[in-house]
Amino acid sequence: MTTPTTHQSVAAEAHAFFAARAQRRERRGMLHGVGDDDVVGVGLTQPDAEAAEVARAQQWQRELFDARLAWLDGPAELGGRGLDHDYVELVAGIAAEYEVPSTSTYMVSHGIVAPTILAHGTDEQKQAFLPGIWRGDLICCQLFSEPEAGSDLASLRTTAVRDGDDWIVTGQKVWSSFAHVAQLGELLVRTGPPESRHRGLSVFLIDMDSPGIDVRPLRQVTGSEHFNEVFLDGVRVPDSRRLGPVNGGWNIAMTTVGSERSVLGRAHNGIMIEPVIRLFALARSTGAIEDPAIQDLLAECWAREQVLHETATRLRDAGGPAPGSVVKLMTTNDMEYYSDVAARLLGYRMVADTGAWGTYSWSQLLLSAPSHRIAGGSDEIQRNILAERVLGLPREERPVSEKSA
Amino acid sequence: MDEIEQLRRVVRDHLERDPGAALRGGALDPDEVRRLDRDRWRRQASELGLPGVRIPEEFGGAGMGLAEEVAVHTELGRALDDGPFLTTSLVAAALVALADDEANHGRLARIAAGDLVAVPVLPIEEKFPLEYPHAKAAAGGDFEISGELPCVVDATVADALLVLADYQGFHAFFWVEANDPGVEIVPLSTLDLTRRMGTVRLAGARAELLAEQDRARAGVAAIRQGAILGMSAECVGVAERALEMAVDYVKVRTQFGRPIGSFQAVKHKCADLLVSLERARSALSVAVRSVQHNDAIGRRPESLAGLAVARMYCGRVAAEITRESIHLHGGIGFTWEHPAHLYYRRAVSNRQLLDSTGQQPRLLTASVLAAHGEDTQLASFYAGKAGR
Repeated sequence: MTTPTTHQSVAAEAHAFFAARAQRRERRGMLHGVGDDDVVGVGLTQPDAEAAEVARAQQWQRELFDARLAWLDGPAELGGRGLDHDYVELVAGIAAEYEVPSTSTYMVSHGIVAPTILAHGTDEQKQAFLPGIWRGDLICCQLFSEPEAGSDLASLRTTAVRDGDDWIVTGQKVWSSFAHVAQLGELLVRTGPPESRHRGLSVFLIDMDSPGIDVRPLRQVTGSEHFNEVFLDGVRVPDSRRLGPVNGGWNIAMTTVGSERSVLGRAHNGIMIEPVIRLFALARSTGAIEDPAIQDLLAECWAREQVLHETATRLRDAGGPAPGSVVKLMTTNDMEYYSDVAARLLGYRMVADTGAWGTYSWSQLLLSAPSHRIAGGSDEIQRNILAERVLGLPREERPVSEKSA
Repeated sequence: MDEIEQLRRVVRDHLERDPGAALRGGALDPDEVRRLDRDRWRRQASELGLPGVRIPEEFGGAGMGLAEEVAVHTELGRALDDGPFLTTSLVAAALVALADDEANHGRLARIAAGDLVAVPVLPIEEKFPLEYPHAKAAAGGDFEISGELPCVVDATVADALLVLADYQGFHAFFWVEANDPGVEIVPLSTLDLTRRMGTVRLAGARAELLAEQDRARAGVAAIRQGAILGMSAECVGVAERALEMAVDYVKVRTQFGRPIGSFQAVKHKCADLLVSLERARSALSVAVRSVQHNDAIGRRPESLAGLAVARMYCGRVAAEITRESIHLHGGIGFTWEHPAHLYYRRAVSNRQLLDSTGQQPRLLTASVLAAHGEDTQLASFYAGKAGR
């Protein structure tokens, strides 16, 4: 006999699963000084600790998948559970109540690459990759930006040339998060003539251990090394790894960057860990909460968090154009606001590590916030998208060199 | 299109066919707005069922819910409507909560028909002033009220006043006919030219007691909540329309040989205003959902925190967008004939009324602490401020 799946039943399953494997977080509500004091979840692992973290994440992801808690809103025939998206938020919320291993290694895999394969892949490609990605066997990265193609992604120059049943890829990619630990790359390349811009691009799913790929980590502002330069020198990719039509890659790339932006609006996305309630707790611990000026700042933080989550849900449900751009601009602005409030609360303890719990850890938010205004399309690109695609404002006149294209 | 969106379309179409003073074209004549076009108000009642949106069907209303009422406020704000919906809908909500008798049923039916304009008379501030109207028993079982209250919306066109007064040290609600000899209503010049306000002076005005103590306190909460949601929704409508007007204008205004809306300096400003508008829309829906969810289960701090989000954002955003809309229109936006200033005036006026004392953010913080069960001085401080 099977019982019907409900929010209650899935919540019970999730609690049972997490409770059997992890400590319940003691830090609930506004307790300050207990547990892990990291404020930022993604991209801060130092190189020497990374291999162990990836191994832990892979083990954890496999157990989640086997318990059918990894891909709740995925199609059942691909290893998902066929439930509504609100189940994803439900289980993520429950996971946040336990000291579970970080799965931020999979942020690009699950948040960005998997939705693109689901939307544009053939049945064979979905079967070949999606169960593996969600089981944690395949860590993914994005190979989009190039040294000369950042905001102007359509000018990219890495090429793929047809050779029988294969394509030969040559060029250079950059800012590829997780490329140094990834098995699978979503590669955007030029398959049309050099001046074809967005009409001459194609997407491939490339094995990162292919001969001719050289991945070199880049050190970031935060001191960690989670993004990379990727050199591709005559790399052979079978045509069966092509995602979507030849020269039809732009549309697919837009799905990818759209997902990348929307990830930011989700609660429990691992980018920030309960920042607002921690600011309240911090203010209580120092007594600053009694100061009306501080109360005003905290209220603004609380309102921003509510508004962000409401906006992400509302725009996702409404199905209009470019919801991710609104959410991304809000989030990046909120992150800076939170780090400013933290700085106000911490004073000198923001600039030197005194060892006090939950103080210097905020400097990581301060340092990582600028990256989110650049990654996944800069703030300026998001504003162009909103102005042109949502408000219908005219495009800026193109430079002469592009008009000929 | 969902039902709420359909309702908004119906209201919008009606208001376009039968516009208020602000959108009739040409320069607004403030004197014209001071009077209420009663025929138009009755048309809104008979053709749209407007004043009775939330009045139960048995009393002649449409019996709709909070979300529908908020949608109506949004459209009225969008059209800068100068009818008395904001105030009569608050009185209707209060009457449903306050008393269940024949006289009240009759009042509700007359409000729903557009025949009775009734206005709530209570202080705007969260914390009650030391002096507000007080009542005493009079001969014949009636009461007499004396006192004064400034900035009462729609007081100048009211048939009746729902007055909150101090009676023997507690809140009580009274019904006062506006034509009573003890009632004087002094019209005030208003920043918002499409919103009337007056000072209500009561000198021994005859009054009927409707509710006192706990029930009256519940009435205060209902009116405040309705006013917050109503004005916040108006702000969303105002902001939506002001941004639309600005975007339409920068698409056609040409300088340096091209539409100014193709310059990034202009289009990025418009994009930022869109993000602000989405914040205001979300703040409003946070407040509505918070009230719907938490009031039903008696979680007052959570409900107040949700309302505070709307109070903080909707007025602020509407003021920002309407101000920038004037700017994006250039000189033409600063002319009396162009409606841009009317939107700005409504936005700023609502912002001020939504947080008259600038206390909302810290009250929100206190609500969050109270909701988390943090037994701090603040939480009790807030409990003391929330009611009397």
